[in-house]
Amino acid sequence: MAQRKPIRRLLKKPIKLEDKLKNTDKLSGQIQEQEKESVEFSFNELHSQVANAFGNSADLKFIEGKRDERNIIIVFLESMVDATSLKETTSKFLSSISQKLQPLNNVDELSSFCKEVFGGASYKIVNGSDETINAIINGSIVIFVECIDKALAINMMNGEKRSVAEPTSQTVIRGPKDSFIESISTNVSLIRRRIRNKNLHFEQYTIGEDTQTSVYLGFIKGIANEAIVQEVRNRLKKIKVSAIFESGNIEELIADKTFTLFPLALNTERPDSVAANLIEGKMVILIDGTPFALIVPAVFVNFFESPEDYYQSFFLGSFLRMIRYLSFMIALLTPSLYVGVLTYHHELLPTTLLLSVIAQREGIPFPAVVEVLVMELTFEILREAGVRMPRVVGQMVSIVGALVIGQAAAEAGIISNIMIIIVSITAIANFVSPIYSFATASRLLRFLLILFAAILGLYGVLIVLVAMVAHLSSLRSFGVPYLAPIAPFIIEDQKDVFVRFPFWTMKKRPKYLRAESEKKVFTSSPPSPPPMKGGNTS
Amino acid sequence: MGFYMVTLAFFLLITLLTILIALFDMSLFEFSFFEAMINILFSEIAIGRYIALFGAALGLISSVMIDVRIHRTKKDSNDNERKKE
Amino acid sequence: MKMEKENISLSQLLTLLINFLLGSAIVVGVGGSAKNDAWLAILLGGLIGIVIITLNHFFILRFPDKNMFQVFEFCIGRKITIVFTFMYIVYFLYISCRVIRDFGELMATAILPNTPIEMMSLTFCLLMGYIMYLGIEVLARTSEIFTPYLFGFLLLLAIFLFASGSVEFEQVQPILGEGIMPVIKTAFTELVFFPFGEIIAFSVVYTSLTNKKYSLRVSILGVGLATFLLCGSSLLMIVSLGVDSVSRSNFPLLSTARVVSIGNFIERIDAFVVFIIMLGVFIKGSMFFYAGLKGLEYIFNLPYRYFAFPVSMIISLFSILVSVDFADHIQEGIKLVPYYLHFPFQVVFPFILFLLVMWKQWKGKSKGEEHGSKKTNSQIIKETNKT
Repeated sequence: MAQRKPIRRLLKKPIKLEDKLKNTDKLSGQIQEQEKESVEFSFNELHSQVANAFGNSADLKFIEGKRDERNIIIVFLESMVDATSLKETTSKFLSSISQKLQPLNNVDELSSFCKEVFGGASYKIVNGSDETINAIINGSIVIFVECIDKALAINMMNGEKRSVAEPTSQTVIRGPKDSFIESISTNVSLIRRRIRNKNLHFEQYTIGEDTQTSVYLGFIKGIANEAIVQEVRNRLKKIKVSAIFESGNIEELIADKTFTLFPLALNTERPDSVAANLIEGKMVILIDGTPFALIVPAVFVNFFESPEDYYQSFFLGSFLRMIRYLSFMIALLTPSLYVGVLTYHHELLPTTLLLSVIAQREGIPFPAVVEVLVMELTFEILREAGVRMPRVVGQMVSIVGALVIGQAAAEAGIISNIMIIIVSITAIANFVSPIYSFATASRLLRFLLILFAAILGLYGVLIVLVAMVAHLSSLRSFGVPYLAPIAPFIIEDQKDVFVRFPFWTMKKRPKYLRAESEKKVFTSSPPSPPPMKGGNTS
Repeated sequence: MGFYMVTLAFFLLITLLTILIALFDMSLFEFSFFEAMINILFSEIAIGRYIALFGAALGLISSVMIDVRIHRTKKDSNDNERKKE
Repeated sequence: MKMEKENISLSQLLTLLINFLLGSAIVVGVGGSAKNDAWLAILLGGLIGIVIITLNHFFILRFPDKNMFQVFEFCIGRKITIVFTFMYIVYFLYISCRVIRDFGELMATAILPNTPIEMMSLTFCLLMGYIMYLGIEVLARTSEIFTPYLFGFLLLLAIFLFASGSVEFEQVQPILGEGIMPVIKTAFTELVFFPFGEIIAFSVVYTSLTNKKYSLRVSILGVGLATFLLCGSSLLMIVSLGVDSVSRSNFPLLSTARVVSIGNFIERIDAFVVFIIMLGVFIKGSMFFYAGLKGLEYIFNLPYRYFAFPVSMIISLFSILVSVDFADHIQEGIKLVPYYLHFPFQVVFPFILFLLVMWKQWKGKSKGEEHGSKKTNSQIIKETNKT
């Protein structure tokens, strides 16, 4: 090895040269950038300079006016600022007859004037073209005063947004009925109203080179584990993309592993669910422009929890949770079990059942696999059509799907009746999942299971299942094992996994989140009636 | 460490296991070593045997691929170190 | 090369041990030569197993951060160790092949008669390769998740057997009808090697344990529980099938399950039994596989994940080549493997290793005393590591 080195080094030389060239390129690029930054708008040519920078955009507007003897130019994007407050502000700046005006001769006077007039509003002194343009893009109006080389930016972002409505993808019967909307500030306020705690911190990140989307990382200091918070911060900082539009974009960029069917972050549009998770010690990532928030770290069992579990009696909550686990298994396994049993293991069915199944399948031209695959695919097509169709024709799809394809196919002898039962039970069970994105796992794995069942019978099903469990236990969400309270087994956390214990028993936060403070409930005794006076129990 | 360690291990293990099985066959059926090898290598070719051989081929291909990848990452890290110098 | 540190909790070790010991033992049935006292032989074997794991444990924990191969290196230097390690790798992989073959034969004869056995072993080995690629942690967690079902299904099997009325307790009698000798002979010549002696494969796992304080208790508990389960299943087979059928059947547990019939509805619960067997075989095969991979890691200084897939394919190939047919396979298992493989690798080599370690430490100690300072064993080990 030692002798080989010089030769290899010789071989590497040309690459080194190239590297150097690249470096010099970079250097010159940096210089250019610096030159760009140092460009100042000169007041006289301001109009053309800013217009150039925005490419004469139609919504870029200028207001020119006078204040005493000085010229003033106000620049803003019409589409981004609020019209009424704009009017108010401009009146304060420009000369009018009724007002006596304070002189604005230098930066100090400008800022003191601002302090007086815009005591509460957010304003900023900007300097240089980059900052100015950035302010304009973000919905500020920028005020240039003649002879002052700095400008004043006042945020006047307009509030064009829909009002808070009921959640559409995660509904409950009992519980809060508000959901997040596309505006990040509203979303933050929805959370803050639920957790009035100074330790609830929101950190801002601007992600997306082209979109400049603001992303908030929220957590409760003193509850959320510091190491995990730091990990999330690091991953958010690492993101270098051109555009972020939805929480799904972020999810894929910060997840521990991309090649998995299972979501590694919880997405929700319910503020109450976010608040509950923050209290447990998790973090929330809010993205401007989408009603879906990301909750990290998320583990497997979180996807079977609905906020309603905690609002109803714990008996019902536990029962519903078990129903969800059961229906996950049903959605995953039914078609493949059908294929496996019918193709290889007739003897596993009780004789009478077997006879009735066989009688139904008499005259059906396909083997069980083909039958199942055809029906499952048909259902997936129907489902996709139902989602994408305009609402008005949506009715049609269900009629065509249910009647024509289901009943008619069975009557025509192409598929058996039992097949229709199996497909529909699978489909319905698949919809039970409280978090929509989690259903993708059972939806896609089902096909793999069907194929293995066709080749190897129940043994194939078992193989895929074991592989799936192994895959699940290899996953991590921000360092937390994905199957956390089950494997590795944590006995203290079992109170909130397959069943939900009453509130007063859940004294501690989940251990797998390694929260900074463990206690959650401070009174530990069950509720009890007041002691009876002179009752008939002696 | 030299290169192509995984492939080396692959062939070594195949050889050693074959020898072990041949030895067992020799003592059980009282074959000579040569007969035992023939018994292992050329026993009846059925459809199943092709599946087994297919698996072995898969293993060989994967081991070569892994070796190439190890080699490449090593080269990359070496290059990086050199750049730092 | 930097090796990743993996963590295994005590409960995971427990489930691994139970599944490992049940493994192929429950497929082919053990202690058959003690006739209807097989369960007694298993109990006795379990006691020996506890002794074995205690010895193993004390020995391994003298070097908490080293696996068996590194201890070898500590005693006799790297060059000779490589030879030894290769022998051990071949041993481990060969046993792994045999375990897979056991399972493959079961599947090919009893469950999927029209599918070639090669298909079973190929898919099974692909699965093992995938899991070992993911690491021993994942294997441990998988075993942790499935073990409750193992207990549940065994219990269910017992309940169904009793409920279907096929249990006749007279079949166990006479207890010790031929004296105690057959029991002792079975325990000391068969059970001590298979399955209990095979615990030697765990000597590569103990380094990744998180909590070493209670590891001995957990190991003993694991062996105890496994013995209990084996004993229970053996009893179940005897009382429901009868001694003759058990000894004639290739896969007695499966035959037992086929006896179940309740009200014409619950008839064939083969699926449960196949699940129990598959889990055990899977853990056992993977543990031997892992032990072999650890050896490769030691020799080639590469993370064992790199070897996982190719070596799994080797296992798949050799699980077919290992013997001509099932009769041959069983013959080898009874006549050759215990004497030529189990005995040297489970008893002789570890014993030599033990002597070497004692000698080395004694030497180190006397040296330390010459210098006039008392040192604990671990300090001496650390020092010799440095040199």
